[in-house]
Parts: sequence; structure tokens; C-alpha cells
Amino acid sequence: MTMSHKFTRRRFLETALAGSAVIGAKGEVEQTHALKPAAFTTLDPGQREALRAAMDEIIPSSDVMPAASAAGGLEYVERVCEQELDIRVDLQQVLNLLGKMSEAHFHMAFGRISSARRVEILTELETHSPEVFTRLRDLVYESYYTQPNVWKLIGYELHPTNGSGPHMMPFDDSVLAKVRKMPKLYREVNQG
Amino acid sequence: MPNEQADVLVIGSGPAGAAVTKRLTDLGAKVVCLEQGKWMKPNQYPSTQTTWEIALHRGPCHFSPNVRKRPEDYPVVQTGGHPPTILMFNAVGGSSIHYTAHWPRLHPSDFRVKTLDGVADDWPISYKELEPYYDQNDREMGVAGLAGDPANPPRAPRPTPPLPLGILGETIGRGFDKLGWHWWVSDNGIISRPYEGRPGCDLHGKCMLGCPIGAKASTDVTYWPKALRQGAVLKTSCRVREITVDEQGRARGAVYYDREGKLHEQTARVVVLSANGVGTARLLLLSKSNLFPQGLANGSGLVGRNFMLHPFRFLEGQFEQRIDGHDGPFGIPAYSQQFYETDRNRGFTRGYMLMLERTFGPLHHAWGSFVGKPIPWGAGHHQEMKKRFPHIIRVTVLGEDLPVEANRVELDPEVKDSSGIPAPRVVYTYSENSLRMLKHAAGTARQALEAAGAVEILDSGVIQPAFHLLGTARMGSDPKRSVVNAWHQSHEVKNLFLVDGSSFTTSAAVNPTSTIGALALRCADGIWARRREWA
Repeated sequence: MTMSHKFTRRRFLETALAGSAVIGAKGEVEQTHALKPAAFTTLDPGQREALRAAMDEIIPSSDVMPAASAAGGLEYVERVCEQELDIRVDLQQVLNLLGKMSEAHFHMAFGRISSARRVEILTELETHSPEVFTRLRDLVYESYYTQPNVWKLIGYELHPTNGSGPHMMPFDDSVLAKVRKMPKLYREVNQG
Repeated sequence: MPNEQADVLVIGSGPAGAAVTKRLTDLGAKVVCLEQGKWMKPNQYPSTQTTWEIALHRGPCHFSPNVRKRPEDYPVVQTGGHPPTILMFNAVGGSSIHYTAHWPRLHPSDFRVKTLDGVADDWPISYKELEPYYDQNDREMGVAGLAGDPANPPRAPRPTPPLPLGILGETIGRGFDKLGWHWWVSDNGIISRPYEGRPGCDLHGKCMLGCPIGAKASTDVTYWPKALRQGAVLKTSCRVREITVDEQGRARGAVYYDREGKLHEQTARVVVLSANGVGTARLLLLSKSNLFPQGLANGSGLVGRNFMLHPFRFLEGQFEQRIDGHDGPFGIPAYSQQFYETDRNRGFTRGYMLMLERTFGPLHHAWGSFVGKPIPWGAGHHQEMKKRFPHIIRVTVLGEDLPVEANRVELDPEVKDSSGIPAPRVVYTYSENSLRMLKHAAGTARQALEAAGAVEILDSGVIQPAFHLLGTARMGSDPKRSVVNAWHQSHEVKNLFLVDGSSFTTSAAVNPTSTIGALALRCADGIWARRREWA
């Protein structure tokens, strides 16, 4: 793909600032509304579509593994957002930012643009706003690697501490045979 | 209604406070302990839940008080050339709730660093003097391990046999054997067999997030049940504001807030402060009066000074075969002390330990594990994850941190806890010696992983310092160069004792908890031997 829309740092910042300005232009009530947890009881359809698109670029499917949303990631993130204010606010900010960047450069919602363009936007976000991107990426990873169906596919067994533990061979003293022949390694000192 | 005077008031219920309380109660003293946290509910530990790894990132069981922000926590301001991450826990059991439970001892040479290597100061006690208390603490806490390590003086048979090494321990052990380097199965404060009514470890792992079955030796399941049966009094949700003194300059007791925020004073003949290497210094600095304008026990100006953290560095080797490092007790399966004693040809003084360690689960790997290298997102994600999980062996470097006066705990002029008490401010910068040591250790850790068959190695580089809190009220014979004497008695306030990580004269290069417990038992015997002086 040609990078006709490749972002420079300046363009990225302009886009980000434009997003803030739009929120600001709607007045203080609108801006406060964006940060209030009560107003974010669930994702609206556009945000849900954007989140699904972003998480499936961060963890796409492979021959064996499901993409993040197919593994249950979307529902997981929504549950977390209902419980944790900080994450809810962070997610809303990053989804707004992705939406603004997509509209500004491709004139379409983030959820509607091609996979290659989504990757382009996410890469620019990672480059120019790494802390924001890291929070999104870590949340997507969390939504994926807490799923028992994913654990089965990667060979992980949880063994929660109120159930039975893994089988392990007892300690075998013979593994230390070579070390036992070593001379004393610690220094003797005057203990007076 | 005023509190009845105790023989001994202990502040803090962690590895030191619990040991002091139990020992003195056994001997016949009336002991009251004030703890700012509560009893934990083991069935609610994150380790019982499918989302357990999230607790490594956020939430009320995180290791850092600045992240978890429980009502009983106080904030810690972290700054300096290498701002540290201060980890601690406030609950019955203190930081033993979430420690790894690695249980090594100091070496005899650690007590004589000035004499042997010309650095820092000698401890006012020797390994030989502390040895019986190490043994006693091992029996009280319950330990798994194996005597006979050529890198350490002979020790008594361990209370329970070693925990399994797993594929991880055996694989990396072969690497050390190939190089002709020392390694040994670790002593851990995790029992491998039933012991004193506690069940043996079921090998679930996740021990740092609390052990719901009580196999890990946190003091809420070891010392405290025994101390309480003997008549000790433990008051929880009591946040101490200051140590009070009488007109003669003797410690009178402590003023504390209860859970409703009401102020009380608990008086005692003897006061023992065991609030960890940050909390103890903070309380002494908070306890200013006309008699002690620089803070209590601080005539030397050294309270809070010489703060030490062990320099750490992580290297993770990626192997072609499954390692399953997440299986088995977290603890430390094995360690090497090949580079523990000073060898000046290496370019630094003193030495380090290599800990051969397990890993957390898949989410922690995806986030970057201990080396801070996240699995890449996008098209290559699954391929990289498959290479790393479960194929990682971690070698952790733990080096000796020499005391530097500029590294310190002080009171922050602005930040306060929820009771309005000034928060501690921790200032820390790695010394050049530490940085040279870490560089050398990264090389040897890499060699060991390669010898064991690692196909790729990830290195954390120099990380933000963290973990053990040491040296801020150190022991010594000279009142100008130390805060307490060989019995942990304040040089200035004769009925005030300070015992925990703050007492360490030097840090050595081992995890400190077994030494903290041993020091506390010895301190208790010292208090009891002088009991006629406190009447």
C-alpha cells in the first residue's frame, strides 16, 4: 500500500489537537460528560466497532489462534470498563482519538477503514503517543490472556490455588553431585 | 478508656514484629502489637482467581502502596537519580504476605566487609552469634531446603525437604554444571510437607500474590497464631503517628489512630519499632520533640540515611523445549553464589547472587515479563508468543548495595497519608560499584543461560531499583556512625529498640527476610535479658 496518508509527527499532533478542540467546541458540559463514569455505562455502537477493529489488529487471528474479539475480548473489556473508572476514561480517550485520526485522514470511522489503514493509524499512535497506545495494547492483551479458551490453545493450565496443583517430579538429589565436589566457596572470617 | 500499659509495645506485625512478639510472649512478657493493616482473607487472594495476573498490574493486592491505595496504606514519594519503586504490604504479616519466600542467609564475610574489603562498616555482630537464631527462625517459620551447600557454612537439616526443581531448575542447573560454576537448590520459606498444622505446598505457583493454603511462611500463619495463643495482643487498623517520650527522654509508648480515626496512646516499658526500612525511619523522623528535635534516636543524623536496595537485573533465556516455568512454587528453585565473594579483578567490590527463577503466566509474558519486552502486537504476535511461552527461564541478578549516605528516607514536605501524616520520600541513586556489578552479572547470567541451551536471551538492562528496604537505622558500635547497638537498642533512647530491614549495617547479596527474623529473635532475647532495667 502506498503511504499517501502517512502521518508526520506534526500531522499527528494536529489531529490529536483537533480532537480536543471538537470536544472543547461543544462546551464545558460536553467535555465533563466525556470524563464522567456514569455517562459511559456501555460502549455505543460506533465505539464498540472501533474497539473491535483495534483489538483485532493488535491480536489478529492465525491458523490456530482466534482474534482478540472472537476470543471474548470485547465483552471482557466492557465488563472491566463497567467496574474501573480509570480504564473506562482511558479507553474512551483512545477510542475518540482513533476516531478523530481516521476521520481526519481517511474520512471514515476507524471501524470502517481497511485493515492496512488501521495498522497505519495504530502504528502512528504507538510512535507519537506511546503511553496511550501501551494502555490500549495492555488492555487488549489482558482481555485475551485471561480467557480459558486461549489458555487451552497455548498449553497453559491455571491450577488455581484452591484446586489441585501441577504434577512435578520430586527433588532428585543426584542433580547436585557435581556441585557437592566443589571446595568451600565462602570466606572464613574471625568471628570474634 | 486508656490502654493498659504493656511490658513491650511492638509496632508492625511483619517478619520482625511477629518474631519479637512471639519470642517475648513465650518468655513471659505482656506484649501489645499495633498493626496499621488488617488480617488478610486468604480465600480472596488473587491467586485463587482466573484473573490473578491482573494483580501484578493494578488493584488492591498490588505490591506497591502507590498503586493499590488501600485505606491502610501510605503513599511513598520516589525520587533521585534512579527513583526506586517501593514495594511493601500493610496487613497482619506485613510484606511477608507477598514476598517470594526465598530464604538464604548472609555469609560470615557479610558481617566483616570493612575488615575484609575495606568498604562500609563491619556489623557489630558475627554470623556465629546469629546462627542459632537463624535456626530458631527456620523452625518457627517452616522452611524447605537442603543442607550441604559448599557456598555457605554448614547448617542444620532443613525442617522440610527441598521443593521440586521442575524442568526449569534442572535445565539451568545443567548449564551451571557445564561451566563448572556453583549452584544449589534454594531454601524457601515454603514448606514441602505438612508442618505444625500447615499443609505442604501444592505447587500451584503464584506465591507472591498470597498463599491461600498457608504453605508459604507469612507471619500471619506462622508466628501470629502461636503468639496469640500465648497471650500476645494484636491490635489491627492502628496507624501510629509518633513514638512518645517522657521527661527523662525514655520512650513512653505510641500515639495511634484507630479505624474510626480516633487518637489513642498505648504505653509500654519498652518500645520496639519494626515497620520496615521505610516505615521505621519515617516514624522516627515524625517523632520530634523538644528533647529530640531531629527526630527520635537521631542524634547521629543517620536515621533514614544509608538506604539500601539490592541492585537487580533480569535475564530471560528462551528455550526450544517447553520449560513450564509457571508451574511450581514461585520461591526460588535454585541459586548460584559463584560470584558472591569479593574478587577485585572483576572491577567492583563485594558480589552478587544469581537466582534461577520461575515465571508468571501468559499475560505477564505478553506484557513484557520481568525484562520489559512486550510481545509485539499485530501480524507477528502469535508466532513470538509461541516462542516465549512456556519456554522461558529467568536468571535474576541480586547484588550487594553498599551504603551511601545520600540515599535516604526523609519526610515529604507536601504529600500526606489519609490521616494527614507526612509521607516518606525516598531518594535513591545507584552507586558506580552497583552499576559495574550489574554489568558483570549480566554477562555471567547470559553465559549460564547459553550453556543451558537458550536460543535467545532478553535482558532487562538496568531497571528501576526496587524490592528490599534496608539500612535506614543501622546497627553499629559507634553512636556517631549508627543508630542502634548490637542489640538493636537505640544509642540515645535506652528502652527503644529498632529491628527490621532498617537495622542492616550492609545489605549483603541475599534476600533479607530470614535474617530479619533471626535478628528479631535475638533482639527479643536481649530485651528479656535486660528486663530488670525496664521495671
